[in-house]
Amino acid sequence: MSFIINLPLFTVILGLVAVVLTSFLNGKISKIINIVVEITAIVFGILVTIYTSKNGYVEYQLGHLAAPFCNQIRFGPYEGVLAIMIPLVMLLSLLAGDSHAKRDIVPNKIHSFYTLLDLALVALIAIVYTDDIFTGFVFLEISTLSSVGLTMIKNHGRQIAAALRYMIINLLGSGLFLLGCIFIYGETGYLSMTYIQGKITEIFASNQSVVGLTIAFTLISIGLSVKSGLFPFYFWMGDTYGENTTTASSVLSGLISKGYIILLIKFIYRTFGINNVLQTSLLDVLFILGALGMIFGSITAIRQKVINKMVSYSSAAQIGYVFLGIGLGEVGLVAATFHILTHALCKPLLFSTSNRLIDASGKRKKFANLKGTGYADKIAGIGFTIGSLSMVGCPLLAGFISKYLFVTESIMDMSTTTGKVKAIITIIALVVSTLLNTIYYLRTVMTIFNTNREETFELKRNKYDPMFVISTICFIALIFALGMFPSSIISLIEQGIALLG
Amino acid sequence: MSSWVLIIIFIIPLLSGLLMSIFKPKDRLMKIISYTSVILTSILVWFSIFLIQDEGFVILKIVEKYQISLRFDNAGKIFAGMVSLLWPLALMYSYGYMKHDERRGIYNNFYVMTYGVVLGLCFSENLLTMFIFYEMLTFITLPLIIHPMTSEAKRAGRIYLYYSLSGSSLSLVGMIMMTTSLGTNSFNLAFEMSQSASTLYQIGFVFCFLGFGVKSAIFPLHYWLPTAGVAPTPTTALLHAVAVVKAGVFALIRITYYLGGASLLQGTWIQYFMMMVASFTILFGSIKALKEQHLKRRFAYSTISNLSYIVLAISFMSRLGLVSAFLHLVIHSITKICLFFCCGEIIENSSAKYVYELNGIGKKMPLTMISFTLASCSITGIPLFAGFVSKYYLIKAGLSLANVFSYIGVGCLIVSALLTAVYSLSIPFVSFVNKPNEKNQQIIDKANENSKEMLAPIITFSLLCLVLGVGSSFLVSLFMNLFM
Repeated sequence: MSFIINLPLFTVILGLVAVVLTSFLNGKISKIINIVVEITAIVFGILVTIYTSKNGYVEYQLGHLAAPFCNQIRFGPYEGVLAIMIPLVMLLSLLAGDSHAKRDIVPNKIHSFYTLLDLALVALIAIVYTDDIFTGFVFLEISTLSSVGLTMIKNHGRQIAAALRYMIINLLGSGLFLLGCIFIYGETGYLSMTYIQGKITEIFASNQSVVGLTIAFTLISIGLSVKSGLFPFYFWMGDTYGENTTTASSVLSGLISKGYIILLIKFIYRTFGINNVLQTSLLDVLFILGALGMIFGSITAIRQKVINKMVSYSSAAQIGYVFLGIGLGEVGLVAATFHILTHALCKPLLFSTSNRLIDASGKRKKFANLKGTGYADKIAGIGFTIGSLSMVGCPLLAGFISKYLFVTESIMDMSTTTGKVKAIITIIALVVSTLLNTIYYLRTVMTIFNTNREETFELKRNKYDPMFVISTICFIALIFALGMFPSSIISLIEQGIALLG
Repeated sequence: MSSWVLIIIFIIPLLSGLLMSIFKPKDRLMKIISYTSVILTSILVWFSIFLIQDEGFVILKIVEKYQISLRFDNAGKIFAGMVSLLWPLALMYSYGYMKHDERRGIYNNFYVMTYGVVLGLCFSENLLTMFIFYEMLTFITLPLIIHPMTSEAKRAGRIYLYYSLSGSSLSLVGMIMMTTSLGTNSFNLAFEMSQSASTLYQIGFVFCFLGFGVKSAIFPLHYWLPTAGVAPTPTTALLHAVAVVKAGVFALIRITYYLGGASLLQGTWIQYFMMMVASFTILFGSIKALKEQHLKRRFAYSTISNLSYIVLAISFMSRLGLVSAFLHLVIHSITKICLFFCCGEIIENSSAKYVYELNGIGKKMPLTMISFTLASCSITGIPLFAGFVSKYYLIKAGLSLANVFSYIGVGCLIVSALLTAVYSLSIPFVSFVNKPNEKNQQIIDKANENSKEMLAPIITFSLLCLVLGVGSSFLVSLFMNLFM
């Protein structure tokens, strides 16, 4: 079955073809193309995962020359799992937000909405698969472009301001990232991740000055964490995610911000080499910022008065979890990756259901106006409850497993002082953020199921939307599946991480 | 009988409650369904107490160390046996109490469903399963608290939810820490352990203690309990004297004795911490109860103090401590449910809410007040009454520990017993001895005890207080055999 090794490249090319096609076809056909591309990408991802989990990782050369001269992609089960998740979540959030997209976006622009989604898909999949830092940068920029486009697709005053702010932050991040890449190229002379890692290990081993490399590590980490919204760079999240159309906010917070984290993981493990990174204090800094993000993101979320801004800022806390996991080193990466999956499933569910609840109250977003909306749109109410419970870490749901992984993995390395301190900080941060999460999510659940309304306006019954129902059921089923039968996914991730280095 | 039967047992009330809330049957049919399902469940529970072997049944294996599984061991059998005796009678009382309420349908459904959740908690084989049922208990009892739908009740519900959920997020993390440290979270009664407690286990235990301590109403976390007294009396009686609070205490018993074993924590700062907290709460609860004039709130504070008797017994971490904890768990449940039912009857049938309004009510409600007197004697711990037995063993367990903190605990216990005598026996005193004055004449005129549905459980429970006191040797020897 050596044909399967071509599939990652095919996915990217297929996506690019779809981008070109959707840019001039009309909205309806664009949507169908988009869905077809996503389903194909899911199937390809599954095949790649199965193949690589049996046969180990694959290095796939693009062109006739070997790696340092030509571009190469490299993939194993780790990449495979992520490559299944990305199109799957995108497909489901597309279905969930379909009716909102029709309402929010100007009809003659709807095809470009699908173009942007395709572009984001291509960029994310390429970031997952690539083994070349410059290719990584190119697709990073493409995903920035598409995400800015998605931010302002609603074409509405506040949204444009949000997009502008988001773009400036993102370009700052990209600029830092590019600078970092230049430093790496200057120090090592390679662009291929495998070769860079070899060279960097050599430099670290040979007592040469590592200032340039440390600067490169720092620049790249700052660039990517700014883009993904790590503490203290999360202030743009509220408007960017909260005011947007459902699909866009789901994709932006569930996937695109994760894409940058995935790239950072690839940089730490593939490019720098984890043993080299451990000699600097990069991971410790990421760890502390992650822990702070968990707490401050939740505090910001608690202070919101509008439901989807609360959901948006809770992303900041969840990004904090992931960075905390990365900061724990190799042991924490399983938890971080699992949390990427968990959050990618929960956040779109929360966004789509909360937007439906807002519809039910006649587009009123404040908590006070949302009383009883859980009854007006029962599916949305149930979906929001399940998503919240998973965020809180209720057993049987995906969120519980990631919390369990965080605790177990944080205390695995108790031999050193750093390990002990990290374990203590992890546990404190987990307790505090779980507490805060519980308060603001379940407060919202209480509100939406509160029958006792004093408001003057009538609740609307939402129109039955089969797409929304299907996607919500899928999301809930996936969250339960991850929560009840996580062992196969965890072992896949573990296997993938072992092959990553 | 193998253990999978347990699933059926706790699903019956859950399912019937769920179906009733979907199909909304007429009053009569609802009554039949509720009674049938509750009584059937109780019968099945008692069958399985005798027939089911002490073996586990795995429903779902999530990851290594974490599985959903059921098992009916001795501790679970005691709690389930007690609950299954109380629930049918409480249901009967609740029908009498809620006769005139418009939204009694919803109330009834949740009342029935809670039974299933509490049983699930008894059947849990490990901490994870118990945690899930514990969370369900929080959510399923919330509608019962906010049932009156006044702003006061909603506030009480909110406070209850915030306290409980903060507690559960603590115990969630604590659970994971303890499991990681021990390598398992199944419940097994163990006293002699060779290993010593790791720091991780200790911290996890403290988290769990504080987390489950919310429902056990230990001192700084008790505030929700008196506030929740705005709920209808059957809720206060069954949930806030028996099911919910005892679930908290039961969880504490589980984590202390059944997880790492009691000897793991014996002599550590954690044991002294638990003892101090419990001793303080015992005094605090009794003093507050003495000061309180509102009838139901007075007994809510009394519950706080009595729950800490059990926490104190748990913190002794010896076999005798475990036996006395279970003894007090059972005996206090029966006594307190009787007291609350009497309060409920007084409130419903005479509209008196405060102690000073009860002057001379004894002549109008003789059976209620006699039952009240019996239960008060029991809660005070007068010999020949049930409460004496558990207090006796509690003090015995405390003294056998020979430790400064346990002596302090026993001292608090004795002081609290005196205070209990004052705050509980003063009520029958004023109702029988004092004459009605002009202020409460109207209330006394209204008073009656016509509702047989309410009177029958009250009399049953008050007699039970006496029977358990006189025939205490049976209960004690049973518990001794189970745990010694």
